[in-house]
Amino acid sequence: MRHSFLDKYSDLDSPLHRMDLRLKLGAFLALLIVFAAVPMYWEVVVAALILLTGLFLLAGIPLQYVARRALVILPFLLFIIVFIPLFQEQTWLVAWHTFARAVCSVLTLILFVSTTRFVVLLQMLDELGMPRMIVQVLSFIYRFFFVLIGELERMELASRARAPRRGKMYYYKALSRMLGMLIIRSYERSERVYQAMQLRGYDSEGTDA
Amino acid sequence: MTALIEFEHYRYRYPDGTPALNDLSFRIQKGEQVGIVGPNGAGKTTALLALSGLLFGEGAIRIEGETLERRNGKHFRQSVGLVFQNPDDQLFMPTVYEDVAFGPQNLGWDKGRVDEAVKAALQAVELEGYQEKSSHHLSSGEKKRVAIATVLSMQPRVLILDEPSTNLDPHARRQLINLIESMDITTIIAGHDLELILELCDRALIMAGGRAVGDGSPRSLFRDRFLMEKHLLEVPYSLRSRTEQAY
Repeated sequence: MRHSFLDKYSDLDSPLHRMDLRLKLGAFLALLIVFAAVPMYWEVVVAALILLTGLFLLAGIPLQYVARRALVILPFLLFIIVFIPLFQEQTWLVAWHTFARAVCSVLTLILFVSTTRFVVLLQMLDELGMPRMIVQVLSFIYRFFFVLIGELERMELASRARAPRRGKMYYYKALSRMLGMLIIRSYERSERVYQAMQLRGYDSEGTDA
Repeated sequence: MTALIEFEHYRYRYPDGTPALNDLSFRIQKGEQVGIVGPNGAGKTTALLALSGLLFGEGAIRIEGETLERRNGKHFRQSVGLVFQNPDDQLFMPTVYEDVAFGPQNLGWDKGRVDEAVKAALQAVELEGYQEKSSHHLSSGEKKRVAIATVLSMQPRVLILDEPSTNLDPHARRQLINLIESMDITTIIAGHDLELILELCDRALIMAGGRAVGDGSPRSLFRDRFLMEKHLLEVPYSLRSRTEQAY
């Protein structure tokens, strides 16, 4: 089972990993605001990319991994850019700005997530006054994401073992049914988890947890 | 002497009407190690959930003479430490520390006492230094031991293990057996691993159809081929005679 692909590099040790969390959050928010506000001339973009690359190298995160993660947003981005000409003049300029802003912001977020342990992030959200219920939900998502992925992988393996040479369409159909199964199984699991919580003194009013 | 745990003519029906426990009666004294065996659907897990105050039926369950009721159910949950069959259901916090501390925190203990309880519980399951690990990075055996630690930290009066050896390799299973053997606490072990119960328990209950149909020393009960096969169980290999082993 693949396990730590969510915050894979967050356990490394580097100046960025050790940085005080509130300071880091402030700095990253400032960076995001800059990327959103400043006109993205190519000099700015190059400077931003050099800065971010430097930080990634400093943190010891492989650039290949960063590129792979950044690629994920590309389809969404293209989708938006395609529609820009319908509403704007100076199409190419707006499109370029949007593209540059989005890429820089995503890289910044990847840097933040890969240098911060999720658990620490949750603690910080709690300290910053995020409602406890939301922090709890996020922490459950983090915990059970891995369990669910594992379950889905096993179901997929089982289906492949029984229908090795069916076409793509068949596969997608099966996958959609598996997702349905996964929801039912998760529902049942959630009941057992809730029982486990009750057994350890939890009640729904959310006493201190 | 008041029994630590007493089931008296206990009945439970699932919401859809299926009877799960049917006139179940037994007593467990403090310090006993009791194995509960029975075919699937015999009501083992239901009995354990009822004992933990998660289900309520007719009849009485008493813990140290006090009757378990809906209104005091929460109070009893601390005394009963139920370890689920699947540790993934029991470990729901991001780190081992938070999981083991979850119970004590809900009991309203102060930080120092919680820390102490967590440390002692992790020590008891021989996982010191695991506090900051994430549960999804642990092996099955480690998860099982953390799950045990999450209830030990609440200092229960009885430890209940539902199918403890599921998904464990022989080495992890052996570690678990040694661990349970080393603990000084009343223990109930439910499951199909008869060899494990033979090793750890001084008493066994056989459940079938929602009631107790056999009660005695594991060795004498499990050897009774007629009794075992009548209730869809079998005589463990180690208790069969030589001629039987040859088959």
